[in-house]
Amino acid sequence: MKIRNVIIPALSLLVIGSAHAQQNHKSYPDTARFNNLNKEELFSRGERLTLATCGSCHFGNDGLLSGKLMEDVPKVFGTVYSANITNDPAHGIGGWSNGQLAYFIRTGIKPDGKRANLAMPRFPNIADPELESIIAFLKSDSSASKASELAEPKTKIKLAGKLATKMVLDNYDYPKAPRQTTDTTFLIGYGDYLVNDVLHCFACHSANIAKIDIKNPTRSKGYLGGGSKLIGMNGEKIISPNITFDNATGLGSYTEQQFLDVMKMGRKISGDWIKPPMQPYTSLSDNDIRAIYEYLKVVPVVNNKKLVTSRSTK
Amino acid sequence: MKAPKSLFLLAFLSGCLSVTAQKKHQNESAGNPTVEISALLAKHGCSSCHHTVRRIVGPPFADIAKRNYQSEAIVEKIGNPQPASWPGYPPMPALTVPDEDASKIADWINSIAANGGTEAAKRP
Repeated sequence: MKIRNVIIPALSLLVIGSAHAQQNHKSYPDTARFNNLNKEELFSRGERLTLATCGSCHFGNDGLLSGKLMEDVPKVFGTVYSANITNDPAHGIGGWSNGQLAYFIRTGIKPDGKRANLAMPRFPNIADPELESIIAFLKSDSSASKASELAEPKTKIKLAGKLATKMVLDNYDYPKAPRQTTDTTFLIGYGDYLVNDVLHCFACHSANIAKIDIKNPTRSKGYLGGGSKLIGMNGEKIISPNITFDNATGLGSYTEQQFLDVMKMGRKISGDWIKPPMQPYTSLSDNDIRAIYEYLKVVPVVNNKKLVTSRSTK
Repeated sequence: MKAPKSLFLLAFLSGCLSVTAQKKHQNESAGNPTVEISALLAKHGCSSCHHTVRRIVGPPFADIAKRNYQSEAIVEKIGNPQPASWPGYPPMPALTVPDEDASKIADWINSIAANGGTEAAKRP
């Protein structure tokens, strides 16, 4: 947290960075194909993915995707409200084209050329089918995405937050060769994609949330071996569980059915229930969860002796 | 460049974890569960998805209270959820909760005042 060590080099980058953002906006890649989506066909998958991926941060006080205060963003970075991503043209994303939305989700760059703040994840490796589904859902008048005029106060990012965003997130350009297809039948590959590129499981479940690698998730320190310090519902400390298949400290003894139970219902084999910030993923399909299971089974095992297994994984 | 990266990731991830926002935000007066009810909600896994007044995964208890179900009906729905009644929410799995505990939870839900939850925001 030695911010002063980075302020001086970062200040110069800040200036360059602003110009850079403008340039990116000019070189918009062709995302026009997202403008002709078969919304009805994509809707239900889009609903499931959006509830699983976007919901935890964007559900607001009216139960719609209208945004809320993100109290856990450290105050040193500023005061952050998640955006209203409902279909309201003035307060939400109702005025964005599908292509603009696709571009934003992959890069974090809004139609006006500005970048989303540091609390918003980027999804550079999400494939077209999932992106299309999420867009179809967000642009529908569903009971989560229909227009809400709820306007939370404006996000205020302090200098430290701006620097962090500029220095780390500015390089999320639109991928040169976006992933175009998703094979949901090859379970290990599909699970890899869900864990690393869509659901970002590795972010909380590796050794240290401050030492993950979003572009190359498997290079994150202690990849999927748990141990990250998280914050629970009542401000209590939560240590993330090891979700590699280590027998002693991980998921080694979970059968596929037991894994389905913990993912969909939240019930662990110990009889305990998972707690926030983890949530049951009841909106994922059984095939999705089986794919995650098959992938986790082939991830190199981490024997994380630091974990008190009775209270974390099991 | 290690320091800023760490800073960013910390912020990004803690952003993802903003569920703690629920602890001191809006409408807390609606009827916090007693110690006994809190323990039951935790024991049977309810609190993994439901909060008194805020949307987590499932609807807030305060919104369930507004449906004016009989307590017996709530007990029945815990064991046999009807996702069609709650469009916009992911389906709830059927839970096995002993009737005695389920009744206590149901009675508590129905005791929650009508001024909390997400649906109140839509109605004047």
